[in-house]
Amino acid sequence: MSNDTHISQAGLENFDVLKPNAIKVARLSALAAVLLLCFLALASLALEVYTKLEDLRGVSTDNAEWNFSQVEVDYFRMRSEIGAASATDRTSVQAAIQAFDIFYSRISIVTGGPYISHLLNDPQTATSLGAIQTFLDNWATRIDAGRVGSADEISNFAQDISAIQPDVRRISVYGLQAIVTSADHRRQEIANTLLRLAIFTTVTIVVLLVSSLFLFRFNQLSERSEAKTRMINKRLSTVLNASLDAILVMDYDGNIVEFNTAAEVIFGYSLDEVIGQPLAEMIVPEKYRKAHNAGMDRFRETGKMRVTGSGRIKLSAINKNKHEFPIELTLDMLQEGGETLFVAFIRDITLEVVSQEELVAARDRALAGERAKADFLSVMSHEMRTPLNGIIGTLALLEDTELTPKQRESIAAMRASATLMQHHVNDVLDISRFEAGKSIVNEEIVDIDQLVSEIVAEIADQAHTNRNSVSYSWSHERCDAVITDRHKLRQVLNNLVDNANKFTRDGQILVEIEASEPTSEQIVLEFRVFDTGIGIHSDDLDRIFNDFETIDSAYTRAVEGVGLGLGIVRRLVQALGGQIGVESTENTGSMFWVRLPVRKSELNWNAAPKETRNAPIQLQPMKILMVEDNQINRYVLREMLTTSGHYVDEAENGQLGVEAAEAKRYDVILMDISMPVKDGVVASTEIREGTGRSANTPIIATTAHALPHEIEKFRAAGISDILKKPIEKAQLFGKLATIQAHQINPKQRQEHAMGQTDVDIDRIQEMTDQLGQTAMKALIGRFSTEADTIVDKMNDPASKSADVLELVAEMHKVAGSAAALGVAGMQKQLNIMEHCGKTGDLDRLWIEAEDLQTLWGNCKAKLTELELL
Amino acid sequence: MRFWDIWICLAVMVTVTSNPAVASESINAAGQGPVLTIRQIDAQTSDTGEKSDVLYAFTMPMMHALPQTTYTTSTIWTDGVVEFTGVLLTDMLDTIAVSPNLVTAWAINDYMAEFSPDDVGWGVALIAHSMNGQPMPVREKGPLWIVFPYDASVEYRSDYVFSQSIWQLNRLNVE
Repeated sequence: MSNDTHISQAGLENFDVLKPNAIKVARLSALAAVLLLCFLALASLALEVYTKLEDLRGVSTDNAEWNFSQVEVDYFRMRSEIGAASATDRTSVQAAIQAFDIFYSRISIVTGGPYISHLLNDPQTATSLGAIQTFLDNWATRIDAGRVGSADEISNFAQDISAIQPDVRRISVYGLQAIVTSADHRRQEIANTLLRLAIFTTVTIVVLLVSSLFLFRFNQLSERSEAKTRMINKRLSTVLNASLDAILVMDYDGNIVEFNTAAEVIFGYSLDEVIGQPLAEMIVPEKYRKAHNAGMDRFRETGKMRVTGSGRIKLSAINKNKHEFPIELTLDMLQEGGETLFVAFIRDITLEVVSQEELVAARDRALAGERAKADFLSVMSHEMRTPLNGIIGTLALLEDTELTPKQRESIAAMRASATLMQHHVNDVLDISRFEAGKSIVNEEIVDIDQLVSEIVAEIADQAHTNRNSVSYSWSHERCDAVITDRHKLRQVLNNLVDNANKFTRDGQILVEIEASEPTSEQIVLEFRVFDTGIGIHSDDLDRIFNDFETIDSAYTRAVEGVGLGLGIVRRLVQALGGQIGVESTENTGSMFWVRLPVRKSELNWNAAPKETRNAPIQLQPMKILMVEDNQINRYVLREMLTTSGHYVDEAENGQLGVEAAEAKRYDVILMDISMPVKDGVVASTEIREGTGRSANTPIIATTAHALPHEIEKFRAAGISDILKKPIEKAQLFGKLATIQAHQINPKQRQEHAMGQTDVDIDRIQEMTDQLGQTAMKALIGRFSTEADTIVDKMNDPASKSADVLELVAEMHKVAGSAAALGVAGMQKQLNIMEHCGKTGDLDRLWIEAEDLQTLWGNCKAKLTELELL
Repeated sequence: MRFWDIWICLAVMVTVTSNPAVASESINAAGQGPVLTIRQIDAQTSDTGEKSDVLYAFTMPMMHALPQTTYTTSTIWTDGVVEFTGVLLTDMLDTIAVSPNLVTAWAINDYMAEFSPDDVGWGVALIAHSMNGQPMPVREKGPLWIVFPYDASVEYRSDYVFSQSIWQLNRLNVE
């Protein structure tokens, strides 16, 4: 278990929670106090013993035994001297006196010594002392007075000396006794002191024994606790070192105190190399070191750390070889026993980062591929649709000319092929449009029954080729017109029916329509297209609506086409907010269903506009500038417009277009987008920004580029509408009509009037057919009179003061006649004037009135031409 | 001055010692007679020195003429602190120009103590003639008393030193 050594003791002590035993400590303290007292007592006793020994050494009293024994010696010398003294011998007397003096001195020494109190305690001894003292005082006085010399005195002196002999004896003996007693007492004292010393020494030894017992026990306990701590540390170290993340512990100064095995692997340092080293220098890259140290300083000042406790953060670190790599770090702070530690959990995320980068790169590549695909599709559609435009347009023109039946047949075949091709191109374009995520739903009123019948009718020829019968039916009640996107719905049903026909031979195709809740506002239409064809393998059922997988499936491979059909259908249905599904049994047939939520139309289905393919919209002639580089397109468009009576000027590129718009006022400009020299967007911008005569003329972009993101660009350039190529007549004239309806500028109107025929020839023809030439002529004649009257009236200045409402009523009547007879110009002009009168816009009324005369003149000329006037 | 004093003293001493009888009998404390006699003895011969010749005999005025030393100390024989004035034994021996191996000091009552240059108190042994500025009579341990500076050190408070504290000193024998 060499891993164990990785955990330095210094670091792990901080994880220990050694709870000190308060009671134990208290006990120890008490013991220590007792010990201290014992030592103090011992010290004081030792001092006492020392003092006593010192006392013994330094003697405070004289040799008392000697002094007491000398009392008797000196006494007897004195007695002997006095016995030898004779009055005649002065020297002997002197000797006696000196002996007295010496005795005197001896007694004074004894009485001044330490045992006098002892002597005085005994009454008899005290009496003896008193006697001796009296003798001494008495004879000292006599000697000092010089009276001792006579024989009598010497005799008296000798007598007195003899008299005190028992007293002297007593003092001597008793004094010795006192000394002995005192010595005993002193010995006893020392013995006592020594005894006390012994007792205290014993107590101290006992206390020491108890203390050592306690210390032993304490030691045992702490050893056990240490063993426990070691075990915990070992367990902890096993956990730490088993961790896959590097775990680093730093002290308050940022020095490493802990470094686990994973850290060694990640950073390349061994434990011994890093312990005690500053973290900053070991693993923080040099460029971040300053910030790191600043952070540490900030922490020490404020106690707050930005990185600690803030969850996982991504940083970089360096290893031993100064190689920098990304890490993920979690930092936490530990505060234990007043010490601050930081614990860092670090993971090397180099691989994660690399794989993430790879993922991002892969995604970017994929996105770039998608973009490239979209760009390719967009360009393709343009490149293919432009020539297709030419083909289909020219075929349409050709069909309008005188043709032999064979030619007509050939043209029909060509047209079918061209249409198919256009269909495929549109498929591709549809996909790219859906990919762009912006498919606009154009809601309009649709007669479902009519739509389905048309689709069935259109497929009939092809179905016949496959010997299939096609029919449709309503499963319950049929519903009236609904509001949905006609074009998209048509595409969906066309596709499904087309598919059914492709995979069916000698079979039946049935379109079943069911409208649920047909009475409420919301209707759910379900279309079911049944066929009795080859069916679809159940494994493929889930995949056939997918975009590109379908390309590989047997189902789609078996037939011509790019295989995007069902993918587009699915998208279309989704765009319409519906669902699509299929049920099929192989070799038996399929049933595709489409469930579509639609709104019920408020209008009667009969009022819904019919397909206007062959019903040209009535337009007043307009001045049109056509900017188009493609010669065929120019030709087709020009033919469409001029045959409808419009004036067309042509410009071959954007620059010429801008110049033309500058010089002349047009009602509308048809602007191609992709052109040499100057493209349509730039040209439109210049026209709008310029001050030319057509600066405000509506511009309609004609383009195959119908991608949503381009439309915004067009709008910004001032383009007001878009016509998708190939241009269809109905759409073109619809847009022109809208523009014309908005142009109410009198000046423009005058220009219109100048070049307008303003007669609905079809209408007039129809009426002539119904009523006959004579009756029609009469009607026109009557109308002519009414028109003359109103024109005259409006030209008469006196009318300006007349009752406007009367005039309005008259104008209304004439307008009604004009409408009935197909004199559309007059009708329109009168309606405008009528409106002006009603709203009180009299200035405008009279301006319009001026145009009315011109207009009527034109109309009369036209009617005359028709031999109706 | 002191120098001359000493030579005067010595001259007197010589005259005094010329009559040993007078010297030995002059035991009057009043001070006219000699208070201290010094004999040179042979270590083998005598115990009291009575047979030897007196080398010097000092009277009280002579004692005063020698170098004086004063101790202020307590003693076990007196009450409180007292002041002793006298001549250091060593000064005395220097004056008479002897350097003995042993000195035996004798009291009037023939108490004797020996002094050796090895003794603790050798250098400080003082032959005091006054206590608190007063001469000491025989009744009060005079006229001469060898004292030590007992308070100065515990060494001077031993039994040995106490036994050397001879009062009523009247003889010194030098060997």
